[in-house]
Amino acid sequence: MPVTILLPTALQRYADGRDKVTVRADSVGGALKALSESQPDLAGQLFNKEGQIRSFVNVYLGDEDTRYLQGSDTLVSDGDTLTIVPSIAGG
Amino acid sequence: MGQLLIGESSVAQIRRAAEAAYPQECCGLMLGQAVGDIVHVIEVAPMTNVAAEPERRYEAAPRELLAAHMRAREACLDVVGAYHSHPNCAPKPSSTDLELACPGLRYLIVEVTGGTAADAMCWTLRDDRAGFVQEPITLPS
Repeated sequence: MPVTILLPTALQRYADGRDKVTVRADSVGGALKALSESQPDLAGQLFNKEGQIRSFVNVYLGDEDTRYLQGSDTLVSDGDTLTIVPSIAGG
Repeated sequence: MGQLLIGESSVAQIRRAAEAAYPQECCGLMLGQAVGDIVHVIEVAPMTNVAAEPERRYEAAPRELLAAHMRAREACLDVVGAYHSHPNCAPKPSSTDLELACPGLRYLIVEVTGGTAADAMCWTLRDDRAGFVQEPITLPS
């Protein structure tokens, strides 16, 4: 089983309306890269011109925020679910 | 131009949360349905502000945020936006708000002056991320 990435409603329009995409990857970073390759319009929203993940993008592995794990180096396995959740932060 | 449709009870809930958090910022999600550019808020989901400087920043608690997204998904509701408050400051997005904004979401900002909720404004990120567009807030009749 590949890795499933759940997309927030706000970004689904950049993925042909899909609420989830499945990819093959062994890390969070790899999964996001694979997602971007399969959904080019979404890539422009997730990454800046320098190829860095935008600040508003949070990725959860299960119920763990990967910022508190190994970030993009967090390992994933077949059957895992990643959830992209827009940051609710600012000031 | 889009618009935010939000009921009086949801507005009241947000204003109460903003006043209760003062002088810190409050934050939360707006759940509902989006049809084209019209966003209808059906309920609000308060979040705990875990920012290191809550009087000038907000950050929703990560686990609460994920749980709210999952609950919305199960209830067939969309996360259509977020709200937060500006203590003693106009309800206009800051540079920090811009950096952390997600396309497609509506951002409702409530000014709280001296502990009393004042003006509220709704904003959505421009496609080029260069700034925000203000959208009207409408209370359904």
